[in-house]
Amino acid sequence: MSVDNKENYLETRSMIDYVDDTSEKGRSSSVLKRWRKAINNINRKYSKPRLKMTPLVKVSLLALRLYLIMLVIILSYKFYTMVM
Amino acid sequence: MEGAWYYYKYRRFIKWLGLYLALAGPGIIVMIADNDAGGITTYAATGAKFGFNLIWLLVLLGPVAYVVQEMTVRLGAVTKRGHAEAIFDAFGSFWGWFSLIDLGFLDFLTMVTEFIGMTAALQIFGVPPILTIIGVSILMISIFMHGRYWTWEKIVLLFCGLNLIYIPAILLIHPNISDVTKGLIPGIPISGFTGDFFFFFMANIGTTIAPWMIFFQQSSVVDKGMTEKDISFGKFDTAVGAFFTVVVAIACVILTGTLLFKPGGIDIDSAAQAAIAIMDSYPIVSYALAIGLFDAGLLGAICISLASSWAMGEVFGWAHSINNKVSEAPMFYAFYFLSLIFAGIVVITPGAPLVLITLFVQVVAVTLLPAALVFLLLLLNNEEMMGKYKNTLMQNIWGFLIVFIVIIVSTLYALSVIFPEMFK
Repeated sequence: MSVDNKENYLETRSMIDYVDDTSEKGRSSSVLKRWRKAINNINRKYSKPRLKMTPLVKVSLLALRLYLIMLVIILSYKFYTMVM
Repeated sequence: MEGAWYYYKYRRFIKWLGLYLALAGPGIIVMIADNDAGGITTYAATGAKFGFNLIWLLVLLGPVAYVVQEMTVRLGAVTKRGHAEAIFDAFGSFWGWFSLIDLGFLDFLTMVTEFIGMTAALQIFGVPPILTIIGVSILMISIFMHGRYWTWEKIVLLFCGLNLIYIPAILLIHPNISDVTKGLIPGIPISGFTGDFFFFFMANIGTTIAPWMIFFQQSSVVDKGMTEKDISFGKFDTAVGAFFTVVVAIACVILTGTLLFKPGGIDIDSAAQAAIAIMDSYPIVSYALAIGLFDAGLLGAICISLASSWAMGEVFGWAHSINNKVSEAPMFYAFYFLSLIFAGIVVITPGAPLVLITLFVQVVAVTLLPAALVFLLLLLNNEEMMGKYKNTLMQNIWGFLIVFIVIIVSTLYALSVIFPEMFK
């Protein structure tokens, strides 16, 4: 493929993609893709906690996890007894 | 010579006052909005059930709210980041997403309760709920149309002033000052330490600190552009707000404690019900109570929806300042407008489980409150981030003590909502 042909091909391809994306399904999948990309970027940006993991921080985060697990168990129990 | 010294002091005071008035806002707004529709209902129910017996607790809750909110001022002014972004940055994406999603969900449910309060209040004036929802939505949207933080803040401060309506209302009912003074002394009612007393004790503490307050004030400090040198003004602003939030809470308790309380106490479900109950004997006071309830719901809705929108904007990197016009920060404003419109739709949807939502708010709140408070304390103890503005030993003693008590009591309150027979 010559350079000119390749450029024409790429331009046509991007136009087809654009037309595809402006269809109802294309638009929604494009929005979903954008959100997914944004979330991935956030996850990458904050992948490592900046706070130094001192014993106080570690214990506090562990206590929070246990607290939340306890709440989930209590709520599940309540839901189970309500349904039953 | 002495005259010159007084003149110098006077000039300094005027300069200080001018600076304070320019920087006043976030502290007063967050504290007065803390007395939202749910808060006013709690105070009205407390007065009707226990008279003036729990006024002392409300006085103690002012400093409690101040200690927590003051930390958000320092954190925002030093890091120039909102609480959501600070959590992502310091604790990583797991705790960040947990806080953001939980905040969004909780704020939406709380917004629904604010709309319930507003519609109930205006129904006393014969306004149908649908008109209230439409009117409030238009009002809340128009407040932001100026694209200036300053204008937004001053409009909201006017609504904060309206929240003081309970104070002139008290003057009309002539409460027994001696009984009110007795209420300032810590103690338990003659009926003893019953399950009901403990429930109301927990409910009043539970309304003092809400997760949205932490996120709101920190983001507000950042959006206002406050820096390290403004921290003392921010602290004073928060203290003024804490003073007025206690005054409004006590005024509300005095109102229902004087007009509705009978030995043994009476049960009311909402502040609107209290307003209806006193309509025949004190119509003006009844209208004042209804106007105050509407205003409380409006302030709560404004601040809560903004807390979520700021948090989303910070994390997703959208333009998220009130100084931005709608065209400059479309996602920020879209999130704000959509959350308030959906909350309004839920309230007017026939058969919507509004009572369940009101109860569920307390339960969801305890999934986020401990995390938000613990993160706040850990961030305030990080020297690398806070430098010389990190917590002192004394601030840590009070901070950890208050956070510990608030977490325990809020959790017990939520458990009492899940298992109503628990403290009977």
